[in-house]
Amino acid sequence: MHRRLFLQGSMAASTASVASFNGLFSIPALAEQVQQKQKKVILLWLCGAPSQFETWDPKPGTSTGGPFGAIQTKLPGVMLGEMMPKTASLLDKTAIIRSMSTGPEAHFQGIDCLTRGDTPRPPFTRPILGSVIAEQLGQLDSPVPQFVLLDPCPEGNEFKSFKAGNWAGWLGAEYAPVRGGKGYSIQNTALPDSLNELAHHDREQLRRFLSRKFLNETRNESAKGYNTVFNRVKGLMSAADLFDLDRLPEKERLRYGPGAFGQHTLMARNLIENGSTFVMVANGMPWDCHVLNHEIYQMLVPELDNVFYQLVTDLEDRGMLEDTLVIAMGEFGRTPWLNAARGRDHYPKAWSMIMAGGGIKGGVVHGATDELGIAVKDGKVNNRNLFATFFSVLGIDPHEQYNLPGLPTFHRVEDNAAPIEEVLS
Amino acid sequence: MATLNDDTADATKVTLSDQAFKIQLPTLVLGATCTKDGQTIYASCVDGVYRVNTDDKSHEKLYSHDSYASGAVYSEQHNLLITAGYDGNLIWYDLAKKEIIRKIPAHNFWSWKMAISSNHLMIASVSGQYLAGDFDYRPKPADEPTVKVYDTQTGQCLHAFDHLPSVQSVAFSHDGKHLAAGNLMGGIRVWDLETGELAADWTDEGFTSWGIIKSHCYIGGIYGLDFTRDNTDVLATGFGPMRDPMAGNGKQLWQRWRWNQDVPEKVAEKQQGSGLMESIQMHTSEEFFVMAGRLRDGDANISLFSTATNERIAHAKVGFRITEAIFPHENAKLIVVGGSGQPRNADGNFPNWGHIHIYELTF
Repeated sequence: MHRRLFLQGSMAASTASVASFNGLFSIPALAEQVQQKQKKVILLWLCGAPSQFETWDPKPGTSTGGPFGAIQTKLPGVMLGEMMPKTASLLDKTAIIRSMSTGPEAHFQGIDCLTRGDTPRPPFTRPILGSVIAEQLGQLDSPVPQFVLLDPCPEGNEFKSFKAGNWAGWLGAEYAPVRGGKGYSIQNTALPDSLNELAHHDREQLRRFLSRKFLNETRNESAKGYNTVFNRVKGLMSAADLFDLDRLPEKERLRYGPGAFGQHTLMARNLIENGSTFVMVANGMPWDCHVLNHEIYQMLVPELDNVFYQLVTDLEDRGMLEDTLVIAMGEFGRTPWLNAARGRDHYPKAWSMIMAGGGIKGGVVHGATDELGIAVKDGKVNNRNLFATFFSVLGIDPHEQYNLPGLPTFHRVEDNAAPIEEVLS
Repeated sequence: MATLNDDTADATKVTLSDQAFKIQLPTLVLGATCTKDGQTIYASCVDGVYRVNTDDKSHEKLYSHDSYASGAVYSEQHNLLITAGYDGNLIWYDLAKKEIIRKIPAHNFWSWKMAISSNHLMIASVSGQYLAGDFDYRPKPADEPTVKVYDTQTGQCLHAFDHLPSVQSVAFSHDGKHLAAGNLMGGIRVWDLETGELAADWTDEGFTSWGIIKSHCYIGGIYGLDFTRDNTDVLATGFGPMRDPMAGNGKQLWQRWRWNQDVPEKVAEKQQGSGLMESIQMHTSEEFFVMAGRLRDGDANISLFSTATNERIAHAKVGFRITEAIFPHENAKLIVVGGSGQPRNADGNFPNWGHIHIYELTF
């Protein structure tokens, strides 16, 4: 259930103790409205940082443009990299930001900044986007995990370090992601043969009784954390099928392409359709091509093109696009110049990203870089502007102020940074 | 850059000159060829095709492909320069008339490399886009033949062969009867050019890497091929397996395969330092061959090996990525071409970053 509307609804109906959706909203029209307006997010996390030159901001025929050309899109005068013909056909539904300019130049710091929305500000840890969205828009008591990370790659250098960190920050562990994907396949979600449903239920009731009693007596945080884990496991057991690729229709699997990234994006759509609020799809750090950039992008970019296209059109066909924000981006861009190893290096000074759905205005290309893609020449925005845009699109106050015990005053997005108005409907 | 002549028990004595004769070009050189005496070099570069006069270091841009020019072969008897590009095109250039006389769209994707037969009657070009073929990113088979052989004079396609993408290296046997091509997965195929039949097909996974860290996809493959002068063996080079292919730190690697038997047999293999090796070429004397590429770690990115013993007999270290090494037919030289990293220039004017170094050989 939508958390904020839950609170609004509970005030209206004075039935806050009722946790079921139908029970809470005694007025059918309100329930329908909530269902319609509940927004969700799929983040295609292009970890490692994709090159803007081969994707969203091509510079064909220039000294920095690389070997690939550019193609005309559905928007007159707007070009995309030549390996993105499918995405080019739906730019009337997307917003491209070509003027991202951010600070961190290293992966860990870049990932941290572009998933949390800001650079670190000790002593408090800012939750990443998925945790915020799960907390703000998530469904209470849903057995389906509200925040899911799908990533088949258990390694991944800096991304591995990041994954081992504190995702939910001050929000607490219950808003951390459930991880799925080949390297993190969810095990042991079926009952053992020796235990039937009734016995399992009885044991769970006993555990809950004892836990509640212990918590009431001790107010112990660890016990609270254990309860969160038990609840999550219980939810996963009932939602395990959603993490099983083999249960997805073969026809749909073929459309999304054979690679792990495509398959997990289809799984993300299925999770969103079945109750998750935020799904982040990563695929290790494949975009970090300091070596053989063009030789690897020949595969990565066509896959991204197809996956993004299938996801957006799929959501539209199912009537879900208006309420589902799709974001595709990494932690920064890549250098205009090639290094000696045929690679492009890190470049946060001028880069691009794309989004669709969720109520954004389609057909938008915000900002521009100069002729060689070295600097932003128009409409410069940063991570704060971007996150203010995400929150605004999703109906969340981007500038909400927090004064929590033991923490400095902070805001959801600092410095009163403005959203990118052009993108807002 | 100083060179070193290795002190080995090998009887082959080859020395490289201490200093190279150096020429710069505006952009990275991806492929090159030269006249028999090595005095004129034709270079396929990121921004087009150049003729380079080694006497006065002058260069002249002849024409451009629609993307990077990636390969060049020269036929003195036909006075032709034929180049390939990342636009998938092959271009025939008449050096006497100074004009393009033929342009053939050979591939739907890049031409990665090209080669010319020793009698100059055939050229070959290899292509193939690496696309995801399964959950773990094994390559998807191509929609078109990835290895093509053309008549040098008429431009007629003589053969079109299949090989799993991406096909990154190609070489004719020295008798012109066979063609070898190597791919991303460490697969080598040899075809009989008289019958068009596949004559040999083997794979050594030591040439490719699957990204355990960072990326679950394949990186590497075979970047250089040649036959020994007696055509019994195929030489292949690239770089060895890496846990993190994004680091580009695979061993500099070459292998020697006795290919023309029921089961091809690896008869020699050498590894040293690290970095992608992109070229391997037999010298016309048959006594030695060169492996060259990018130096990431180690003491050399040019290494000469004895054909008899496979021991390294000389080496050099140059400060740029070598994409091709050439022995001119009638001169005791070694020409290496390539480029450094693209220089940064905020004004948009990039200094030269293509390089040609010419060494004198004594043997």
